Amino acid sequence: MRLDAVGLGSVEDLVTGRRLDGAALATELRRRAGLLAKAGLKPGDPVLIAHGGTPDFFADLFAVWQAGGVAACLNPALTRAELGVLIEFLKPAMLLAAEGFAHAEGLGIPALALAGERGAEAPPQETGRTLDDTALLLFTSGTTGAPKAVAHSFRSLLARLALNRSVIGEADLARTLCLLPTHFGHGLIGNGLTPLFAGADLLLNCGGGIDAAAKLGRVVEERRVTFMSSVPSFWKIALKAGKPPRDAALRRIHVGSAPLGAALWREVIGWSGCDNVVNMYGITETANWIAGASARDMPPEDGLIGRMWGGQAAVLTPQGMAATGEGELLLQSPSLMQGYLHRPDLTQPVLRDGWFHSGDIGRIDADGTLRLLGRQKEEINRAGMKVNPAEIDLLLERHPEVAEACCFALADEVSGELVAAAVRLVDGSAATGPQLRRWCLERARRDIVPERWFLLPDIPRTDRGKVSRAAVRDRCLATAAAAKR
Amino acid sequence: MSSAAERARALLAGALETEPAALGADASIATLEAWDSLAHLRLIEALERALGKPLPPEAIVEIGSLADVTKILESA
Repeated sequence: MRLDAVGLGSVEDLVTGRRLDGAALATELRRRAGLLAKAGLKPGDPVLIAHGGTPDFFADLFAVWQAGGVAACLNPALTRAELGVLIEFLKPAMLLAAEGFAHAEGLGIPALALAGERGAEAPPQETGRTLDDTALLLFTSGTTGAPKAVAHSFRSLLARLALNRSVIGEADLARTLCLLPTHFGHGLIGNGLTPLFAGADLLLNCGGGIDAAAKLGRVVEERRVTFMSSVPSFWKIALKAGKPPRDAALRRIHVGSAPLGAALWREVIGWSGCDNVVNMYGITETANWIAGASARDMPPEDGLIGRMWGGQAAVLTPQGMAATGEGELLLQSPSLMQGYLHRPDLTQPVLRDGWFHSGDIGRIDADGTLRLLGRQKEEINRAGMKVNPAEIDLLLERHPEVAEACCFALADEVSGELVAAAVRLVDGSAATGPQLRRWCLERARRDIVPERWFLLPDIPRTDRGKVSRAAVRDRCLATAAAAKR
Repeated sequence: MSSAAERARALLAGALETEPAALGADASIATLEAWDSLAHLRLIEALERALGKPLPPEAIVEIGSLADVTKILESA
């Protein structure tokens, strides 16, 4: 894929000041593609990219594509154990990291920090890759045991980027601020690649947190930011800690990855002075954004996600598939994933007869407007980060003092949901929640480690002997309430 | 231990989903892995409920330790 011929925009890290304009990015990706070829990368080889949120991340990603590789963008906070699981699963040719990467030794594959490597620009090579070859892998779960990697082709990515550019418009994208991590679809494809492929300026402040929230108004004002995207929990922090911009150029704000309530939606409009605040519906499997509702077009309403951005939706009702009504949302989109890498057992249930079964429950009106009503899949949405509770059950059950575990979502005012764990300890164990948390943190990134712990004498089961996460949650809450009385 | 210090410890422990006894006197955002931006917002909201008024943005950014939380409660 000739990335140096795309006409990429510029990318600047607001924390370090490092900036690569379009021409510098093209030069740098050609140089790095040469280094990758010299290091033995062959077209079709997977490459782990274990850093993110910087201009050098994008230079590495584009170099991998230019050299014909398959880029797997990882959460930089993965533990050594999680990296080992992914290497075993993917058999990558190499890993790309930032200088000072803590896990470089003993991985069994080369770990390169390309920014500091010497090498001349390489002339573009014909790699033999086609638009339907896999380009990008994003891990949505399973890094502690059985990885689940969403595979996108160049065709699905390019379709999504073209649709985003068409719907959003170049004037809105002109100066885009990205506050999100770049190892998941929202930050990478929506907030990062969309402006870069449109030739716009991308400003990065991906560390998130209190500091980014507190400085948001100033950054928006000083850098004349036209567009930004974020998650609801970030806005809750920014609305409290950050002073609003006095003179902003904001033309569009996206909020996604977690439900945006109507009240918060209106507060964002009030803080920013921009009425084009859009509640987004995006899924990694559809290369992120697939529908959106702007407050400019329709009044804020819980669950409102507007019309599809290319493709079409249907609902699965008890009577079968229907174009309108309520049920599981089924999606068709040119940006649909190829499947879950090496996992036909996971792919087949969700990709059927040309439709992606989203696991989200929604309603489609006669005019094609979508509303999200809930979800039937079990995942926990912690401030926009999706956590598969079954994966954490299995991780916990590896602990020698855990007899049984059941993780579930607990409603939380700040993060939307938090990760909770009900645990039955083996007889005689005196392990505590904080001890179990510390054990987990040695094995898994903190995003997926339970925050609230309930130690129970038994994990409740249904009369058919099955564990119901909802029933376990109810038991835990009742036990905690009784303890307080 | 003063009453404000005890209340501060309880508020911070609640925000971090831990036991008050697990927090040392030197507990701070730099030493506690659980003190991320989400926990910080939980702490701010708990503090505002305890004080009965919103905190100014500057104070929200400056709070970074158990001692800071205690100081705010003492000065209320």
